[in-house]
Amino acid sequence: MFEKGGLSTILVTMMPNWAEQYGVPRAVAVEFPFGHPLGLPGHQLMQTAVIKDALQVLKEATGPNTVVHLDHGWPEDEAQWRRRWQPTGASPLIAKYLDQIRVMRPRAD
Amino acid sequence: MPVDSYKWLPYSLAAWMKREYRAPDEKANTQFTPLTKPLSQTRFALLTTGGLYLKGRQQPFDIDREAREPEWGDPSFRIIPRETLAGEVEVAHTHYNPSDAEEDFNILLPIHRFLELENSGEIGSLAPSAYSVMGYQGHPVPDYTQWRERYGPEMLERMKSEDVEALLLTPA
Repeated sequence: MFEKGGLSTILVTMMPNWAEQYGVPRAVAVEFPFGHPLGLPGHQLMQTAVIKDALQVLKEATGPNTVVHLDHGWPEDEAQWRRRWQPTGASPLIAKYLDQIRVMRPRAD
Repeated sequence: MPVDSYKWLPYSLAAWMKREYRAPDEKANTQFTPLTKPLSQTRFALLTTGGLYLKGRQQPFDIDREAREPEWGDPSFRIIPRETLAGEVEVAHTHYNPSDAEEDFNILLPIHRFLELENSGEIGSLAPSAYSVMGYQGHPVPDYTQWRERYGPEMLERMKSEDVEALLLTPA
């Protein structure tokens, strides 16, 4: 919609599989916890580094469906953050489907 | 190393999502507008799906209705002005922990970072308005009708009226 309206867009995503399947004009992917596409609160240098990478892709992409995976690592403890990004209570959707979710096991793929 | 889209999800939730959600393949239809100017002459706007709103001055996104109707999400949007200061933003979004975004909204809507880039001349300018929506739009198929037909065009019209040329999108 925004590209059709004449704007050039750049997406910062934590789920590049969606961008790659659905299609996006341009995206950079970060392996950061949800809610934190540009990094840690109060961490100006980290936020600016991701933004500058995004702007570089905005500038250099020559066609649609450009998805660049960035290699910024998450600087804090992974096990702790696997919980910390999550809402303190289950969302209404997750609460509704909790029984279905609990019985799921990761697939072999 | 490619980014693992499911790294931070609980294993059972990741497995459930892989089963429940299949993005359609629309790659052949992706629109693309080349950036024709240097970044240093380009005017930017920002749009996040993080559910940010101005504390005490704007209605929160309707998470009460979402609580009653878990397969519905509020499609409206909020304007966050570029003058917004730390502490003036709250979050209504039930699918992630908003405490870090409320502490520093720049992790989702990097207004202050873009003002710094404007000051240093690395971008042309940041437009007066930044934009916030709440990204959860329903299950099992997100309903983007209101975004597509009403709120998206309203945001685009405002961006055009503020001479925006490029847009940074930051989902939560």
